[in-house]
Amino acid sequence: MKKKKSIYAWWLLLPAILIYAIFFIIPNVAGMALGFTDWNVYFFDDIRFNGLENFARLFGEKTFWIAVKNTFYFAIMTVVLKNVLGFLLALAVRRESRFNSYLRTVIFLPIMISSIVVCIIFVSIYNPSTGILNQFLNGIGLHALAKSWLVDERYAMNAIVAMEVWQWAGLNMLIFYSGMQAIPSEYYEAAKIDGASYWQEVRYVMLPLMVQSFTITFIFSIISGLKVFSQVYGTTNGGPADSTQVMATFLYRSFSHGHYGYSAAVGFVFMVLIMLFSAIVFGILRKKEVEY
Amino acid sequence: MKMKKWVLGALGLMCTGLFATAACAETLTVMIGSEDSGGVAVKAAMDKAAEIMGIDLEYSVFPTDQFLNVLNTKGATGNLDDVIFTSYSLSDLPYNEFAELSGDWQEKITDTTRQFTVNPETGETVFAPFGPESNFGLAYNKKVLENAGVTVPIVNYSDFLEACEKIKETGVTPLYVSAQENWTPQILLLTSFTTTLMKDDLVDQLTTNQVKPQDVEGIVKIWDNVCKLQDAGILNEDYRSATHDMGKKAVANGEAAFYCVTDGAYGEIMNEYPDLIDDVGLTICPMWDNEEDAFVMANRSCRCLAVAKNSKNLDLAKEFVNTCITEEVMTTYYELSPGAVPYRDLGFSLPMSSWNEEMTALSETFPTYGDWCNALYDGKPKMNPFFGDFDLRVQSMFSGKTAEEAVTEWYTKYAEDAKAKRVEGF
Repeated sequence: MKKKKSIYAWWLLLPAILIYAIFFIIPNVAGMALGFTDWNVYFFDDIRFNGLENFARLFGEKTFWIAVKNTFYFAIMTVVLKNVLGFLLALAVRRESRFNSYLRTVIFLPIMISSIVVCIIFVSIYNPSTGILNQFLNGIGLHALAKSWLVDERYAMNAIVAMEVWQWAGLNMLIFYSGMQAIPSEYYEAAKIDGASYWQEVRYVMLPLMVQSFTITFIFSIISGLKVFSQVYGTTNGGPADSTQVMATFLYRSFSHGHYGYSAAVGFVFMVLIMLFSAIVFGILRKKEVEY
Repeated sequence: MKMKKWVLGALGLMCTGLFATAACAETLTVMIGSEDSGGVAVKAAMDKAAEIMGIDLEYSVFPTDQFLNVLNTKGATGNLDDVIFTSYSLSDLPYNEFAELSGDWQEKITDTTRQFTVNPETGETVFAPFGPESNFGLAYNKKVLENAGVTVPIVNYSDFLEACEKIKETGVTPLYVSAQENWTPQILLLTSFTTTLMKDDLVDQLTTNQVKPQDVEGIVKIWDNVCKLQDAGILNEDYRSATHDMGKKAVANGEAAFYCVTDGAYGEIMNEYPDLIDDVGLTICPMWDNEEDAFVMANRSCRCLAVAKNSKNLDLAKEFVNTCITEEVMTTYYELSPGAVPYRDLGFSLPMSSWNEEMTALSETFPTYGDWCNALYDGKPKMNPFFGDFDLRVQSMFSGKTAEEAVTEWYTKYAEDAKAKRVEGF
């Protein structure tokens, strides 16, 4: 009877396992295997095993390390900024009023815009001579702050980070707002009776009970941060001088050259790096969650 | 009864489908890069050819930076479009997937362009030259130069800097650079560093990995000359964010004296600023130190048509190509984008631009790229600098990289491409 039950469970799992195997496990294993070959567009049907050559080339490439550094920088910066800003915005709009519901919609609106469209808008905003950002800064006399945002390697990455935060902070706000609504009002009342100030309520009641919301926003932000592509492709395409190169644009570029074996190696290494980073972060967050 | 109705209905639908198919014109798919599709002349001319033949064209437009990869991938997987329009050299392309072409035009291709049309393995003609032979150089505003007392051609780098100083004194930007796009700054080097490459057997050594360009003093020096333009204070302030459109406008209306371009810009300026086109000329781009290195960048490439060998519409596609090389279609093209015709005598004349005339006149004094290739390598484009992200490497010098770093990175990528192509020595 027990054996029958376990076979029954396997049959139920089979479609999911098959789909997962076909669309994830097999392509990844095949990709890993191709990473050890010289497969390229010029010899499409003549694939040769080249050992660890692709990996040696990859680790020896300066741009690869720039891409790794930039990807993690982008992910960490956007995780922090989107969460801090999202939380503050949620605090600001949490009280029910007609104005606040209008404000929530306005803050959420950028998410509805396609990333590439956002890039086009920001390329125009950041234009050093005609963009509204520099025109505004020059207009109020802050000439020293008017920079060549996307074309100067010192500012380009942060300019892209700011664009991403502008677009996605609204989603975090919404998740935090829902989290805040889910906290029973009794906890706040009890805190008030104990003489807690507003910020003490936030610090000692709200924040600990919202760790689940933070876990969700962290997961979303880390995933979108590590797979950043369109934001860079649509604004700087990895330039100037590779200063905004990220893992996805690096991979895209090597694939564009038709070096498929090498690209497979790049993809495999990136996958390992992302898995390690994600596992560490999720492990930490899981431990912080509180049941109530 | 119900069954009969269904059968009649189905038959009716089938007939409608058959008639609809018969009534539709035949369709050819044309693969083209986004830069080319944006140009008025190319599409206008091809549409004219389709109109003459009574067929439809379906354009597959690919971003310019992806065009080569998509074309090679499509070639490798047997999925090429019926017709391909490109200015890339055959050595970059899956030429064995292209069909042999023939027509009256074949014997009339100029010697300088012929090298770009023949499959190097079989000797078959696989490219039909369509657009003009290229002229790259320094577009200049005649009025600005006259006002500053500067005459062209300028034959070396120090004279060029001196001329720029004179222009600067008149309050005009001497040299316009549009480094936001990666394809325009590279023209500064494409028009100038070939001389250094063509010396002795340097090209042979570079293409077999016996010598690295970063170890050749002359190459690094000429890249450095281009890099140092930024420190000379002669560029437009916004050169990092400026675009090609801004550059054309600046040189046309006299905001800038010089702007490095391909002669395709002539047609664009002519269409965008028709009143100003006569104020703009084209000359050599003297980034070299010694006058004896001066040369005219002419006949570097030509925009051509190819037909996929596996095309289901092979005969129709070949007929389309032959129709393109006829008076009516070529006139449509060259009236919108005048240039140096890649044929000796087609039996009709086509408009050439004043830029091409200037460059032709200069080629009587200085050697041309085409002459070089013919003399040294039997017309074959021996080294293709476009490998290895040449454009991005040149652009990177305008974003803080040194000339040496840029040359090194270019050759590293070049070597990777050469290795992928299994070139001996890499």
